[in-house]
Amino acid sequence: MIFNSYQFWAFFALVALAYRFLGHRQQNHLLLAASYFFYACWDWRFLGLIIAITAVHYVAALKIGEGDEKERRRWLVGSVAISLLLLGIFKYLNFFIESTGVFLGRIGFEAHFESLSIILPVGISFYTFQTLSYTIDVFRGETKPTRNFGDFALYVAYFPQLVAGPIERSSRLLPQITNPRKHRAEDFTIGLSLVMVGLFLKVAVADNLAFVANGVFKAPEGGITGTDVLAGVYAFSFQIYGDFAGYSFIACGVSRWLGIRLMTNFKRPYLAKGPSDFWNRWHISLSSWLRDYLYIPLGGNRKGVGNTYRNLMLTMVIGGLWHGAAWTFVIWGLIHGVLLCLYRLKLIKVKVPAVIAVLVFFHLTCLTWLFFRADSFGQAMVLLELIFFEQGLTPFSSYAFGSLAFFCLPLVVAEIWSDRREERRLHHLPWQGRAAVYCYLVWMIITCAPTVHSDFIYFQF
Amino acid sequence: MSEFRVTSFRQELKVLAALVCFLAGLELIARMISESLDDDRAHIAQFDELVGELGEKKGAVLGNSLLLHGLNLEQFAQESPDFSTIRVTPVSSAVLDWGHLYERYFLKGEELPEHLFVGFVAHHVDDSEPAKLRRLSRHFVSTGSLPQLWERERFDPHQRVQSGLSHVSALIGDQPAHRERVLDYFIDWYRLGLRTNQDWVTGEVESSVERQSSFKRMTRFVDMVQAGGTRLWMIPLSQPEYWELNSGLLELIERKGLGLMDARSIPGMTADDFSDGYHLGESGAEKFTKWFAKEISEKITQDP
Repeated sequence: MIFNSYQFWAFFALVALAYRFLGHRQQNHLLLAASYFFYACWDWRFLGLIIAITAVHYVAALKIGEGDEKERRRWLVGSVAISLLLLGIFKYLNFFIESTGVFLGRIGFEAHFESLSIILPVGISFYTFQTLSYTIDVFRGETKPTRNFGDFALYVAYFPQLVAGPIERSSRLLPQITNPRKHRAEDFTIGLSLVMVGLFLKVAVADNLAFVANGVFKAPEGGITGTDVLAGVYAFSFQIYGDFAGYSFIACGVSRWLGIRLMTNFKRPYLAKGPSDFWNRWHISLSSWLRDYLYIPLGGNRKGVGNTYRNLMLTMVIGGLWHGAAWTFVIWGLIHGVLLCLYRLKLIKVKVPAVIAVLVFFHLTCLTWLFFRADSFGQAMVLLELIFFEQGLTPFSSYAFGSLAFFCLPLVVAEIWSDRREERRLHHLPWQGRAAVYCYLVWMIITCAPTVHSDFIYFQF
Repeated sequence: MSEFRVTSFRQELKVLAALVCFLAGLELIARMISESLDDDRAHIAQFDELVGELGEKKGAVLGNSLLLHGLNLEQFAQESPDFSTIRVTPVSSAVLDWGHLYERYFLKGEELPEHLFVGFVAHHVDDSEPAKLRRLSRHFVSTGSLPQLWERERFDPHQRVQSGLSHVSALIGDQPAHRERVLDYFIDWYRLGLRTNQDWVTGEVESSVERQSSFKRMTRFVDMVQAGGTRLWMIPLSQPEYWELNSGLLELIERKGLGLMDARSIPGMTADDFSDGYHLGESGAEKFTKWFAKEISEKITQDP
């Protein structure tokens, strides 16, 4: 039941309708039931898993809240270990088995390991990180443990952000669940603008450019030029942005309609002037999670220059691995780590104009996406070589660049416009302006939707 | 830029009302341009008229672009003066479309053809051919058959809504054609680039997916045509390379007593007779039409 399906909107309409007529407690019960139903629609067998993880962290947080220091630590370590173990089994076990087999083979040992048939529970990386942050926050004394299991279960399984984030913090989401929600007059307006933009990003931008990117990454060797590859990499860059930001916008929009404010996950990331700026704009809920629960506990930048770079690299590599169990994701994280370190070193002393900084960093980001999307490191290197040494305009590259301009140019212009001043937002426009923009968005969503819709990329993470 | 003023739900209704009006306008335009979108829509718009001609014609040729380009009706009329036929050949169609359009346009008419000729290559008649949902629902399926289509093809709820909307709305049903026109207008080399893109994307899929060879759609189609007393002829069509008929299809043809006119290797037909490696060109159409008229003469008019 994906956000751009009729099932989801029928489901949401029913939930929202019933929600309006219920009191606070009943609303929570309804949302929890709806969330479990939503999750069961993906694969009902994993309902047990999410409930089990919820129960572990619920009990652990209560024990941490009550116990002495030794017991608190034991419960923290235990609950974190269980969550990471489950994540490891479902997401990384086969990767480690295969990688170990390859490694042993390289050093001369014949090893035949059978890969296990494991289905990845949708959204496991998201709700694992969300529950971990809760228990750690309780341990740190930043959040009080909730005694209401239903409220906590809703915090973990809240359907708009369950399968692809934003990864919410207990300090932000839990009070909105435990306390009666206020109905604000602007919620409908803001929710509508978020949903419209989100659907446009997913259906018009991401799904159309997915086709172009898939073509380039599946093209036979020898039948493609560097210009084609460049167009394909740009296409993937906007595909993944449209796909993930689109999901986040819709999640925030429908939540607004339910009176719940989710955190902003994307802030025009391709207008970043450098890596730190980028991570303050891209998948903010993950980057801030990694900062608060990994980078800073590792020492952050407080333990000398060498340790700062080590911490940055480690955080980014783990961030890469969070996305998926493959070496291409590790390399993607590694490159981002290197970029963070290089920018921190400030090798270029001259102050470059903002537009140059944005363009340079956008292309560096695209370089990282090449590794992220490639099927293997080898394929990424072949494509990279083509970009640098075999440029050549073809009908395909004209078509691909034309598609990029058609689907992305209005988006880029709108983002540049709104990036300049905080109050420049779609919902700030007078109603006539909003209506005109919505007409364009709806026209693009209806007329330009590709024949085949693809799933949201981040569901696999 | 003024500060954000809190808008009421009622005020937001104005925005929604504007949006609804815009959609209604789009739907109106979509209906107005429906028949002139492309040659195929123009052809589809003529189905009723074509089927109406069956009173004076004995046969109907059913197929897709392969027969649209392959059969020259003027030449056929000269080669086969005793046997006239109509041609219903919407592009990119297959047995699922033919079954439904036969029901919607032919069965509701006053006359049924005495002979129905179906031209195909392998994938057009087996069940693995994906349904072109919007076009099928908009132009080929009758309203009463929609639930059957959803049930038989196991459409999920999203597809059912999409299909229902396509049936009633030109904006939704003709969307692929609108999309193509818009993108073709704005994007250089759109068609050629898209074809390359499709080849790259589907190349891997097709090589990795084994085609399923069941013929439920075909069986239903045969039963429906035969129930009206029409004799059904299957015409496996010429391709640059000879292709094998599926044994399951041969068994179905034999079991149901269908006629077979095998056009896979027409004497004198070469790869040069194809315009694009798939469709017959002018010379190929001439050879096919001549062969078809001869087949009709031998198998129908001389030996009814």
